[in-house]
Amino acid sequence: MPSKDMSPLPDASARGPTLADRQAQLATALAGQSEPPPGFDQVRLSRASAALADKRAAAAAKLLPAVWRSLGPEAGRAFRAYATAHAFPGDHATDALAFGASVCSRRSPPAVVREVLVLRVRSGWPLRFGRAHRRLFVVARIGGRPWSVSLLGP
Amino acid sequence: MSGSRLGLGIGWRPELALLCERRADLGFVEITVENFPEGTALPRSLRQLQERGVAVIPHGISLSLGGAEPVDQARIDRLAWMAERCAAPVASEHIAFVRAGGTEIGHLTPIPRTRASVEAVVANVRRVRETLGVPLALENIAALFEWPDAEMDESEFVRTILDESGALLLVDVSNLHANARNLGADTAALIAGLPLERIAYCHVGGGAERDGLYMDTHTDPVPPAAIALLRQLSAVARPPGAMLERDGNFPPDADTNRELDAIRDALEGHESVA
Repeated sequence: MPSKDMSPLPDASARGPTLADRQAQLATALAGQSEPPPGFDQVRLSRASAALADKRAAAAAKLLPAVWRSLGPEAGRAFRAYATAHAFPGDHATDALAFGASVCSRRSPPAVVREVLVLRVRSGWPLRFGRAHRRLFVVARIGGRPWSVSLLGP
Repeated sequence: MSGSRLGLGIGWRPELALLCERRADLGFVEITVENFPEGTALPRSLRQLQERGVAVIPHGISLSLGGAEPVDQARIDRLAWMAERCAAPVASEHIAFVRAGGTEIGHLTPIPRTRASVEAVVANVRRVRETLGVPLALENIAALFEWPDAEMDESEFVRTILDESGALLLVDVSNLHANARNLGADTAALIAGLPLERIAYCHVGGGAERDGLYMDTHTDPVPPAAIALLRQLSAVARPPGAMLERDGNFPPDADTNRELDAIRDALEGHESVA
């Protein structure tokens, strides 16, 4: 039996969006995952969003220069495609590593894969090691195939 | 800042380590906490600077003090640990948010100048101060846009946050310049309205015009207007210290040294010959 008390229930929506709601809406818009919130200068938000994407790309190019060079003139386009599908993870090394893994293939040169692995080591990723011919190798699956790469050079 | 003089400083980066070692008049260096993996030793170059008496100030970029969500205790612990490890006189962060609702923005983003924002920042600063063993300074950021519903102007907003949180002020004069160019902010009024007696130190960084907007890149030369703002500030407030921020596209050391000379001269109230 429904209550006969007709006084309005507390309704969060009646108070309008909270600061947390509004910040979340702006954050997703800047990340390119939603429409810009109303009331803002839409052109400026668009410029800020583009600047964020450029910052991610510049960081990836700096952290993984061999990966970036291996993509030639398509590097920027490849990163934009990656960034559209993957939100910023919170730090540039993790972002670059995810991008690097996404563009490495079975035919990637060992120097390119090695660069990704070295950044994984520097970033404290859990690694598997193997030993062969008295040398220590990092073993990882990148670009759809297993790799054994010496961190001391080719 | 309680009388302690920092003097001339620079944001320590591996690419600038040798310059820092050669620069005898450095009073402090600032390190970005997030650039130092947990559990690793401070680089030898930094330790040598410390032995020389150069203060090391940890600077956070990921606490999101302006976020409506409570700041992550693990990030506070990391800042506090770094401050203790460096025997830092002060630590610093920003009046900004960098994440919300599970989305990482990847950049320092402005917050609305409202009472709700003041309360959010003050609550977060209080959480930090419960763990941090040194004073915390809050930095003004550069923005390309503003929130639509400001309830107070910038100086009142900053002053209220500092009054209620007990934090010190880190004035980034280049960010003042950027906001004047991009948002029409009145820097003279802002400087006049800020609680200048709470200044811990100042930032000076480079930037460049891109498609009609001034971008605070830290990879381009310092604009003369930023040096002029530091000189203007020094004339009325005598900040305890001022430093150069350079994050990439590093020029020859001679160029960086000229920028440091200009910052030092502006801080001391002299006209630079550079």
